[in-house]
This record gives sequence, C-alpha cells and structure tokens, in this order.
Amino acid sequence: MKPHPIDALARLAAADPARDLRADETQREQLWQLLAATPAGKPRPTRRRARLRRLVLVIPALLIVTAGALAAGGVIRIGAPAEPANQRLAPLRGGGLVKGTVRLLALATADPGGGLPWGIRVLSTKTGEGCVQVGRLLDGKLGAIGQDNAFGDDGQFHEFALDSTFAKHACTLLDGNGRIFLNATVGDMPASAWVGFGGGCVPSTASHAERFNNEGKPLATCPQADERNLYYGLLGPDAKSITYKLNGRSYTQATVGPEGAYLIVTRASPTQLFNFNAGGTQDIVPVDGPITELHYRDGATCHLTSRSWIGGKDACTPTLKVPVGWTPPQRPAPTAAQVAAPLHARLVRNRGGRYEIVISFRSRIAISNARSTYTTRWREPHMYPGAYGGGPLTPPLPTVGQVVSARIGGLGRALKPGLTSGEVIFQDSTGPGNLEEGPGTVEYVVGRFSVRVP
Amino acid sequence: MSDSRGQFEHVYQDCYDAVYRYAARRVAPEAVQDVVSDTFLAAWRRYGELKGEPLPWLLGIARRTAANHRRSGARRDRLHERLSGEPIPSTREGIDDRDPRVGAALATLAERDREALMLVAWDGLEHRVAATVLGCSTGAFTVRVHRARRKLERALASEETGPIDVTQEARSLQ
Repeated sequence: MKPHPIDALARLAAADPARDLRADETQREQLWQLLAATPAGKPRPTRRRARLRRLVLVIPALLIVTAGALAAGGVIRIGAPAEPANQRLAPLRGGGLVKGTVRLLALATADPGGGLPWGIRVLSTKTGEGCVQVGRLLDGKLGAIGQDNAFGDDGQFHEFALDSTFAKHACTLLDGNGRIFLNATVGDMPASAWVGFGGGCVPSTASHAERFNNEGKPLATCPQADERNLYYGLLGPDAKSITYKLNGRSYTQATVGPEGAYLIVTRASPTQLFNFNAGGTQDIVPVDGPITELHYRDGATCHLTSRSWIGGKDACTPTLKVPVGWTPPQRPAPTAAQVAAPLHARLVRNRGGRYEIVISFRSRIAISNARSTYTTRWREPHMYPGAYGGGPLTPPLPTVGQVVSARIGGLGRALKPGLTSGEVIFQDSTGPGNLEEGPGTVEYVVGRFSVRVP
Repeated sequence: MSDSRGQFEHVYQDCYDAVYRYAARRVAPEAVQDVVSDTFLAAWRRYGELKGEPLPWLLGIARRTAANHRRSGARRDRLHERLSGEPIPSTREGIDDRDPRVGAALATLAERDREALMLVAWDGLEHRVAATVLGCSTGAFTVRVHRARRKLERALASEETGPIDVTQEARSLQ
C-alpha cells in the first residue's frame, strides 16, 4: 500500500540517527575555552577598504633582493632553522630525497600586510613524488617568521628544513618526465608561514583535535588580520599565464620558469567559511580559488568551471584530458592476476577488550613508487548503501613476499555486531594528480574477507 | 565586549546540542566536532551581525560548514593519510541506520529536498525557523517541504518493492 505523505515524514523522523546522541561534555568545555581565548570579530570593513586590504601585488624576483636588503640592514634577523615538528613531508621518510632536485623557484609574491615576500621551493622523492613548499623568502632561503605565536614571536626568520611542510597539500605524483603538476588552494593560513602545531597559532580551519596541545590546552587561533589564502601551483613548461578574478577585477599573470609556477596571496576574508574558499584542496587544475583561465603557449586555454574539481574530462572547458605538457609514466603496470593473493582475516580483541579484525596477505609484487598502493574497504552492518570504511595497509612499500596487514576497528568507535565484509584493493595510477584523485587510476581486488563480530 | 561574550556564552550553552546533532546527521562521525568547532568560531567572529534568533543563524552557518567539509573532506583526509603515513579509519555517512529503507529513499532525493525534510523531521524546526536556515521565505519553504514529502513517499514505495539483504552482499569469496 502506498504510504501517506505524513507517514513518510513520521517514518523519517523515527529514523533520525542522532535522536539519542549526546554531545561529549569534555569537548563542549574545550571548545568554550577555545572560544573564550579567541578575540571577537571586528565589524566588516567598508567595500573600499576591503578592496584595498585584499589588493594583490605580484612582483617578480626583484622582491627577493629587497628581502635580502632587509636582512642585511638588520631589519629582520635570521634565527635558528625551523624544526619541522609534526609536520613532515612523509615521502621523505619513506623514499628519501633525490639529490639535486631541490630548487627555489624564481618567483616572489608580496604579502598583503607587507614584509618578506612569499616563495616556492620544490623537490622530488625517490618514490616518484614531487613536493612543493611555500613560505616567506629571505636571501634566497625559504622559511617562516617569528610572529603569530610562532618561535616565541621573536620576529626572526627561520629557514624551513627540507622535510617540513607548511601546507597539507604538498606532494603529488611526478609525470613521466619527472615534472610536478600540482595546484593548491589553502585558506586561513597564518602570515608567519608556520602553523601552530609545533608552536604558533592555528588557522581557523584547523580540525578540532589540532586546536589543542598535548596537555589539552587550547592553542591560539590566528588573528583574522594575519590569516592568508594561498593559491599556488605548477602548470608545467607549456603554461604561459593564468587569469584570475578578485573583487570584481580580472588579472592576467605570466607563469614563471619551466615549472609554469604561480603564487597568489590574499588576506583571508572573515566570511569565507561561507563559501568554498576555506580549508584547502589540491588538484591537477586550480580549483576552489579565483583562477578562471589557464593559457598555454600553443594558444590553448583551459576555462575552469565549478565542475573542474572532478578532474578528467570535466577539468577544463574545452576538455583537456590531461594538463598540457604532462607525460604519462613509462613503466610496466601489474595485472589483476599478478596482484591477487590469498587473504587472511581473523577476529581479535585488543588490550581494551574491543574487537578488531586483522587482515593480512603476502604481497606478490614489490611496490617502490607512490603510483601504487594497497588499500582496504569494508562494510559493517546497517551502513547506508554506498557507505564504507577504508584505510591503507602497512608497510606502504612492501617487497615481494612481505606480509602486508591492517587492523580494522582498533581506533575510533567499536565494530558493530554482525557480519563485516570487505576487500583489499591494489590501486595503480597511470594518470595525472594523486593516486586517489586522478583519472587513470586502476583498481584490482587482491582478496575479499568476511568476519562475523559477536 | 564582555557583554557580547556573556551573551554568546548563553547562545553557546543553549544551542550547542542542537548544532552538534545537526552536524552528526550530516557529516561522518570523525568530522562532527570539526563542523561544530568551525560553526561556533565563525559565529563568534560574526556575532555582531546576528539579528533575530540565534539557532537558525547558527544552523545556517553549520549547513555551509558541513557542505564545505563534505566536499573537501574525502580528498583532504586521503592526502593527510598519505602525508602522515598513518591510516585514518573512516566511514562515509557512517551514522547508525535505524531504518535502512528510509535511509536509502532519502539518499535518492536532491540535496535541497533532503535538507528541507531533515530540518523538519530530524532537527524539529518549524517551517518559519527552517526557512531562515535555508535563507528563503516561509512560503517557499512550505512548498519545498510539500514537494519533498511527495518525492520521499514515492522513493519509499519504490524501495519497498525489493528487499535489501546485506548479508547476501557480504559473503566471503575466500
């Protein structure tokens, strides 16, 4: 029988998944402490003042010289090198740096608040990834400034270590010629170029956990005036310029060097949590930012749309299936038959008495490049159709015959009683962008498992 | 300033649970606290702009914040996973499903229809308040809810023509 509309709404109300949910009182109290330590917002600036405040100036390499003069004149002193704290470029831990690939790009972008310009340093790893570091420039060095609670507000310049990363969106897969094609939008970052997890303030877009130190005390949220949006990227040797729009005006800016680099720095708007500029994204084309067009030397233009973040045929209008100048990786890819392996799954109890599922198998291939990985997906009882849990396995770079494993249910909430089933998947990327995002990623099932949780 | 802080503390204490549950209904469990934090931080920074009732204003902020999280969350988490080298067990929409058919039917609706129904049925808002959350008139919201209810009704009828057997999907192939 066809249900009456009121019945449908009543059934929906009865299915409310949060009906009996209670907020965690500790988190409620922690958040209030954080709010109490955060200055209230200021009234919105007038339109004219806002325009002036967000004015973006891009001044090529000349600014580096100015920055050097500032240091030489004693305006900015050089402090101790910045320790990377817990923000490290993971690929350097796994595969190491390829010697001779560290380059400071010939690009300097003024900060809207003045002071040292911003720049980009790139490097490549032995696991086939290219990484991009963004920071303040001084005397041909990239680093952070002791302000916004960073480095005890000493006002000095602190050079970045090679394995430190200021932005989350730091690495991507290299193309067949070892080039980096990467575009990132990072919002609400402190002007110090140093995020506060190792000292310094935390951006307003930090996760709840990142807002507190190890003792559970709230870290300072960056002052609104010192929050920046960074739009940066490397479009490759065939890129000529980008066009972007800010405050109703359109700008065209030449890309720099054989990397086709660009870097735009603006003040973060207090209202940007209300659109998609906040947080951060990384893609094969610039998305979620002010860039509207990419211009190439052969006359091609990539028009960016609201669907560009999907990538593939949606990346550009008209369609450019891969970024201009990107070349596919030259290497043999394994087949489904070569990666399939017997999969073992068992139910164990951890020290806390909670059930966990341990899955393991012997890798039949060696993985030495970030283009390939093993990952797992599983479904627990009563999940919505299409929902699944997931995560990588360890070690991430196994040799032939090495045992690869993962534990499901050890962290976070307990496994639900009933049948949990899933699979281990081998992912391999032949396209641009990162493994999980880029078009051209193929997946083969290594094995499937099914375990009943009491 | 201290007056504002005092007033905001009342708003915080009164509305925290509603914002928390609103977020829990719309984002993955591990993102709920982030959405709540972002919502109240944004609200505190813009508190001077509040005119009228605080709850619909807060839920309007939470709605945009949750949408932001949903869109960038998956990509960001995977990148973080790769950068940190540590697994982040996660579930998409990993909330308890009390009635799988209702959940499946709801999932077939357009986002704007789904949101209208959820504001009424789950968040318990009157049409006038829910309309403020969505930034539309009460009349427009009432029409939207009416149409969305009919779509949900049809989707439920469609769902109930075929049973869902989760265990059938989950058989072991080893």
